[in-house]
Amino acid sequence: MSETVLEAKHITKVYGNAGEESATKALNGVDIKVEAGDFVAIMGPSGSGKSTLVDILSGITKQTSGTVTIGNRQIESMSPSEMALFRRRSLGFVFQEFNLLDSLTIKENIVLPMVLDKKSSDAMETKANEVMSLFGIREVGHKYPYEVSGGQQQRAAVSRALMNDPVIVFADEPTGNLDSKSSNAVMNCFKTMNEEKNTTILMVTHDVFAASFCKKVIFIKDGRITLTADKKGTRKEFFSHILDCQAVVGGESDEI
Amino acid sequence: MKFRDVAIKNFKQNMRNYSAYFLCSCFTIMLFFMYTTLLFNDAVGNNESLDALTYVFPITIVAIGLFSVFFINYAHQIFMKGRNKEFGIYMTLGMNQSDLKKQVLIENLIISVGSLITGIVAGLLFSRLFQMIILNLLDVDGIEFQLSFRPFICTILTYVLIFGIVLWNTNRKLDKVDIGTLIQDARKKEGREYKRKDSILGIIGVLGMILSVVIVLVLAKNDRMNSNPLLLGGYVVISFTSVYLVLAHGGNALIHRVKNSRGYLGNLLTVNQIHYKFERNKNIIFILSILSTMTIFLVASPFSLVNVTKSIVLIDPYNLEFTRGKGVNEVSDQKMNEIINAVDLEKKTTVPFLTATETMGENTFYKPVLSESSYQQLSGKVLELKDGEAIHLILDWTPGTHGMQKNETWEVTLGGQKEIISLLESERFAWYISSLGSDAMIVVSDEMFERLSKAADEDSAYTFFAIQYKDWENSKEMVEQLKAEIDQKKTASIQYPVDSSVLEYQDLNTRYFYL
Repeated sequence: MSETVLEAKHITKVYGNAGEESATKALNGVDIKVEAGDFVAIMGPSGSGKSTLVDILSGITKQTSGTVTIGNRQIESMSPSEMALFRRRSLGFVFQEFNLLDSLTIKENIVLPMVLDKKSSDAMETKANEVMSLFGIREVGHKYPYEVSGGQQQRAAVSRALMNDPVIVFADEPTGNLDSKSSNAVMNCFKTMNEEKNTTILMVTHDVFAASFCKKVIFIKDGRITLTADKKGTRKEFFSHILDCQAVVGGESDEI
Repeated sequence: MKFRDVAIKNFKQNMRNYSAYFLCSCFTIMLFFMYTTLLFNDAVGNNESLDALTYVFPITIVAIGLFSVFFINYAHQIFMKGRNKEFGIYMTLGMNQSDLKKQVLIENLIISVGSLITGIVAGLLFSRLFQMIILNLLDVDGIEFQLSFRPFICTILTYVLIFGIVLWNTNRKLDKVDIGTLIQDARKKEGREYKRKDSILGIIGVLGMILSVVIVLVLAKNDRMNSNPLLLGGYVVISFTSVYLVLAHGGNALIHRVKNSRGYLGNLLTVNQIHYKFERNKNIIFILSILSTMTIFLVASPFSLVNVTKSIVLIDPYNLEFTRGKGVNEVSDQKMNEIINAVDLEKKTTVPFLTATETMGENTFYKPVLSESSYQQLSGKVLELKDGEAIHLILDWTPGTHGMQKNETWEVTLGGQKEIISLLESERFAWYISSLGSDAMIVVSDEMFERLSKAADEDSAYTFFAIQYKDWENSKEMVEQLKAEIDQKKTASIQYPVDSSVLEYQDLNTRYFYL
């Protein structure tokens, strides 16, 4: 039986003062379990609570109630400095934007987590070359973010998320700003990460194409999990299955 | 690679952000240093004609200090705000708040020390020129430039305190920072979308700027208004707010209009270039506009304050006024002339006056009475009064008619002599006179004065001396000598004080200081 990497129980999130009319319930009793080596996508229409959920699971936002456990550690009970250390050593992040520092080269951006962890230069060099080669961006390592394409930037962000061998990588709309070719390249990076490094990935997306790379898709609507789809067959078949599920759950067709 | 290398690379990249903060700090430090150099110049402190400055400079220096707290803090907050993305990335990668604070502390130390050194060096370079300009404006010669260690210590201590306050405030904000907010802030586009309120607020800003120009013109011409702190404070608020509204909202509205105009596509590159530059630099433009206003204000204020004080004192054309009578300010003619002639005289006016009671119904006043020719001697104005006619002249600043109104008939009594006077006028005299012993005086025709003089005894007959000096600012010693002589005879009078421009000037400056 595989090990549970992330477990969230009865997660609720209310914006505003609970009980007041103006309060908005973004999440309403969500339970979720992610096993080691999973590659999970969370999908749902705009405003369904998917980004809020991943923010809570990664410790960026605090939930109103419920518990989140990552690698046997309950994150809400951690102090800010414990959480910072935990984030540095055990979590990886990839965002739609807000990823790379313009002042640093691609390679320097990638090694940043190890710099913060005061690792040796040799270790940084070896690891950076390894992940950059894995994701095909070694030749642009010396360039600055504004000198490379959006897809290469995002692959650099994916590389950086892997630098400290995290327990789990969180990705929020990683292909949101990319064209289909770059999206394909980035999603292949995630796939490689998952298959070759056995990294657990939890990704929020509204892109069915991106979701079809995952092993499992969780559908969320109005703050609740409404459906779960496991990958069976080829990616193309899974793509069709996700489309069917989306039709059942209900969402906007132009979000595909 | 170490974190220090990352910080240095970021520092270089953010040079534009840093430079605004750095230059603001340098500029205020330079200004502060120049003022303290002048304040701590012993020659300025010992020069009596610069007494006013020794009161005005500390006020100006405190004003620059307070302004620096606001200004450096504002520049620093803008600087920090532009770094949300950087801090957000650090925090998602596991940097904790204390590491962030450490980085901010190191950067601030570099900027603070750098701007202190640059500001003081720039201050050193310009302080000699600054002193020359100020002393030239004030028309003072013979002050040597002097540099002691005191301005250095004063500047360094003040700005260490100010940077400490700014850093404390930043640390307080960093304590509250969380990744969620940083991510949201960083996602916001640079510049804002146009909203309808931008046009309205922009127009309010433009109207506010026009209004502030009008207020300045009105205030400049109206002595009563320009001494009203509420009006002045209101003016400062209106002018700063309107500059902010024009930059923050008016600029956005104007660019929106241009982008929706017909010729936009033809000038697309130029318009967008301007828009981009404006969005990136509008905070700096706002800071610079306030800074330049403050600089002009702070450099001009000692000069204008000294000038205002002088102009108030010189409303009275005479530089020394005093009354002499039996038991009042007694001093022999010989001694008096010896003392008052010690300084070069321009004009000396001596007029006799009487103190009589004026009665109408139940109202009785005790007022000085002068003849029309004395009045003419004193004021240079010609009066043609018939026997029995008189005018009432108010001698102090308190409002009202002081009991006597135009067209009234009064009975004047002096030593048994009774005269009926008819008031042609009751108005304010051209300047305030405190040494006539009353809040107002009566001017009667020469014939009536003659009759009253004959009836007066020596207790009610006085002489009023009014003297103009060529160089009144150097008359302090003479005035003090005259007062000492009077004191020696124990005839100094509270009712009839010796009034001098030089002491009034000093007194006014002292009051400014306490204000």
